[in-house]
Amino acid sequence: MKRRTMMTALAASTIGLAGLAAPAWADDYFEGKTITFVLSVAAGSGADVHGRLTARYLEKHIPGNPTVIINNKPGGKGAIALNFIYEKAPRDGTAYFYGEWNPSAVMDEAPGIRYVPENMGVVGSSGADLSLVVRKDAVPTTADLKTAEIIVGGRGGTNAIEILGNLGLKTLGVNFRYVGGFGGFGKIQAAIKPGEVQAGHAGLPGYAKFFGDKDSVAWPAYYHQQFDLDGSPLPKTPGAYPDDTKSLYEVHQELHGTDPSGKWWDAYQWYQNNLMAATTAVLAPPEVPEEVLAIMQQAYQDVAKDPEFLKEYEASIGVPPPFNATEKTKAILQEFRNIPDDIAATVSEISGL
Amino acid sequence: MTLDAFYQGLMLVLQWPVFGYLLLGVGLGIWLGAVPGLGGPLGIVLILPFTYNMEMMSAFAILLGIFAVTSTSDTIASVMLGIPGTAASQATVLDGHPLAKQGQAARALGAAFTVSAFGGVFGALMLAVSLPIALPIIMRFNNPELFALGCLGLVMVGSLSGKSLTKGLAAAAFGLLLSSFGYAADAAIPRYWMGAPYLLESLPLIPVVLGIFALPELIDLAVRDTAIAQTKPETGGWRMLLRGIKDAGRNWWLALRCSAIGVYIGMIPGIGGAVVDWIAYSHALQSAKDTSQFGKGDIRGVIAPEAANNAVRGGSLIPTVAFGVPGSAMNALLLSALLIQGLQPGTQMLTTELPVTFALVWDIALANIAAAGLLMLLAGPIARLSFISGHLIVPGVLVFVFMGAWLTTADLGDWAVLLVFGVLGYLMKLGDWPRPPVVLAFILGGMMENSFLLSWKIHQGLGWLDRPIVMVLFGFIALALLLSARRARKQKTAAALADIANVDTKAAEPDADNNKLVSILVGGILVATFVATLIPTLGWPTLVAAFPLIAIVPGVGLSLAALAGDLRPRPNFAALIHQTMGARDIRRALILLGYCIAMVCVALVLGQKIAIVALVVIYLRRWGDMAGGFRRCMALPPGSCWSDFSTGWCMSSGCSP
Repeated sequence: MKRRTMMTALAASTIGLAGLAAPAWADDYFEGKTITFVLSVAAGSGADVHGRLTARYLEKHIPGNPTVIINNKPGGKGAIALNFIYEKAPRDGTAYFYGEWNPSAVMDEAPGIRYVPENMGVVGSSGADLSLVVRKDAVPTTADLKTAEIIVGGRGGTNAIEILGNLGLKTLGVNFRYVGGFGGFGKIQAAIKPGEVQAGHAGLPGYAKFFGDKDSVAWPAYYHQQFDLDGSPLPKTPGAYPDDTKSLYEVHQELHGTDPSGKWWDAYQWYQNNLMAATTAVLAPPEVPEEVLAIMQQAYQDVAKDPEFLKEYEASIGVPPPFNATEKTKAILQEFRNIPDDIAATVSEISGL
Repeated sequence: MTLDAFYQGLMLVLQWPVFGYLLLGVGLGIWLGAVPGLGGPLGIVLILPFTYNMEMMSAFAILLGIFAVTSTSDTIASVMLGIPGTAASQATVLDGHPLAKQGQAARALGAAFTVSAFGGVFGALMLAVSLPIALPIIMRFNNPELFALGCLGLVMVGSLSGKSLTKGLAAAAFGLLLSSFGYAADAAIPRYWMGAPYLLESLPLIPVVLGIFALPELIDLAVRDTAIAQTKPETGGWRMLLRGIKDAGRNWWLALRCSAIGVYIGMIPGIGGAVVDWIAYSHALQSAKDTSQFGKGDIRGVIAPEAANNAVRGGSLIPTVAFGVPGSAMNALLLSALLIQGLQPGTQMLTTELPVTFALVWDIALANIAAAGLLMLLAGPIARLSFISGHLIVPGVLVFVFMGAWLTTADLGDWAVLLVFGVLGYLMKLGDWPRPPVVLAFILGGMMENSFLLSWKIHQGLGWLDRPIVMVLFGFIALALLLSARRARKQKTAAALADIANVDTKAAEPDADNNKLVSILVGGILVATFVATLIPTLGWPTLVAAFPLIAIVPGVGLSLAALAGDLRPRPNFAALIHQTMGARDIRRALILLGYCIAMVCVALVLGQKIAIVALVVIYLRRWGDMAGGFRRCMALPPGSCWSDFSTGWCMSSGCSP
């Protein structure tokens, strides 16, 4: 009995000490440290601009104000950056993945994919306002999408933005040939401008940086609308793309006189609802202590609400994306494999382009 | 808008701490240029890993500070010692050193520093003017053109940077092969990773480049037991310095013409610094009415090469920034710095990032002015740098090399890669295999593969080969190969000129060694590597295998041709082995490499910090002792050690302690 009392006291004191130690960890942990954000996109792309801006404001919001540096590791359809974080990066909270996490490549069990998203630590995520940017000489009006033959330059077939974008093109019945491998929108736009390709799937940062509403070469033919929980289309984010930009839904009605339907549309809706809400994610290697992740999660949420950040984002990139609550990001990363078989088959077909 | 960007660029450079980093870069560049055997590429590669965590403008300031001024301070050794500080100042020796012998060293230096600043600023201005003009041309360059341009750059550097065309091109093919290690650009299929997770991403840039470039130079510096000079010639003082400045003013038209030559030569990949001084010197000779004093101490023989070799730096940045195609290893390293800092060469640099581009221009211009001013004020003390024994430089730089490699991924694999490529680089140096094509191809390979694959997919095969600009570029490639034969003849003429003045080009052209046995060994290593990598490549999907095959197929043929060249006439292997193994330098190099390998083993057990310190202490005890005086120095307290060192330094350089 006496021994049990001693053990209990020892355990209690250990817990007490741990409790005392926790606040010190939270306050000082990152002071003087350097955090590396490993980006899966090429330097200079729209997503790169987004990542660098977020990283700069995280420096401000993480207690201890560590230095946050960017390391671009594009290639391998995003696997290089994710595998690095999953397998090789330090487990002390000083390295994070930032970018698109390619759930389709994971579900396809593509060769070389060794990261398991469910096992990674979650910091946060954001959605994206996406569009099809197309050359004006190739597609002067949305009506021309019905007859035009276009080459679409893209990041890579299994990239989440590309999958959604190509599902949209298939839904509309556009005659297109997809060329993946550009890495990021920085290179895609460099091919659109001289006419090497005619179109590309753009995030708002890339569109704003390289084209903008008054560009003479290309325009946003349509945007990809988001849906509510019942599957009804939500209105366009105010300020994102010109006011008269139509949604894919509206363009389909214009081109075909009907609401979109069929396997491409079903897959498009499922993908937009279930995966695109967390297009861009900030993920930690497995085994990073929960206390450290909690610091980062809070800092990420603080950045998303920082008026200075939002103002600079709006000035330099455009309308800020919808930032998700931590729990929502966790749910998406844990449940993304629960994809219906018919949708999985359609997505697999499109990612093989 | 362009003028606004030009002004914004200046403001970016003048802000603190950016300007401070620029001055630091200038100081480092002066040191690297003044000490024969070091030079700009070594400086850039040493500093590059430390810029990863720096703010973008500060990183460029320090790198461009070094880049811009090594060809200003390298004049000191050329004039004072008759030994070119770097390859870019070989021609300066012809008239600079005779002037020093006549007691007019300060005159030569005054003229050289003045026109160096002029040439450097002129080159920067040409860069500023050319880039906006280049935009419409860049817009014509799509992926097929960029791939062809990359090929042209590699062929030019490969065919021009060594004495053997086949060796240069085989080295470029080898660099391309190295660039394809790790995941394929278009699929998550890892290539040549040999089961080592370390190699999954790609071969790391910094350890490879430090190994190929820096380690061989340090080994060379250590084993040669460099005692550059014992006495310092009379300089002539301030009076002669002012006379030199006036000489530069009187010959402004020559300086302007030679600066223009420098810019144009700089724009052509592969030619750059190594020959521009000779071309400018020849121009001065051909355009002069009275040539009787050339080679005996004519100030125009100093002005011409010095104006050109600084202007060449601005010119060489034009293709790097505009097309992402660097013309030399040093430019390739700057390109990698651009990419690391999130900048993409091409249209972005001339549109959305134009202020940053102009900041680079200002960096070069201000660095040249600052260097000239500093050198004129401090020419005497800085000149003493040329008299430092290599044994005092090696340990410090060695620490930077190992630290720089470690910073990449903080993995012992970084040191393993450094040593593997260090050994290969040293063998290439001994065997007279050019190393710049390897580095250039290694850095360019990723971009070239991407351009090739996109061209293939957009045009559904090789249909892009008949595009007009592509055909013109491939025409240039054929022309470059033909001209390299002509260049061999010109080299003979230059060598004859150098003989006239008894120029010792050893320090500036370390690749002048040619150990035939080592050359055969390098050829064998390359053939074996190409063949070994061919086997797995054949089993991959077309788009994953295509680019490695572009390197492997010609690589096998070229390295076999280089081997055949070395084996004709059939060498006496017994004599070659005896000569090689008996060479003191090689024995010492093997010992030093053995120390480095032992250090990696020690690092596994005791950690890398202890291992690095141990290497430096052992080096100083063993090699410092060979230079004389260091055993005594190590036994003394640190303060007295420095005093002993500085006294020895002053005594050897002829100054009063």
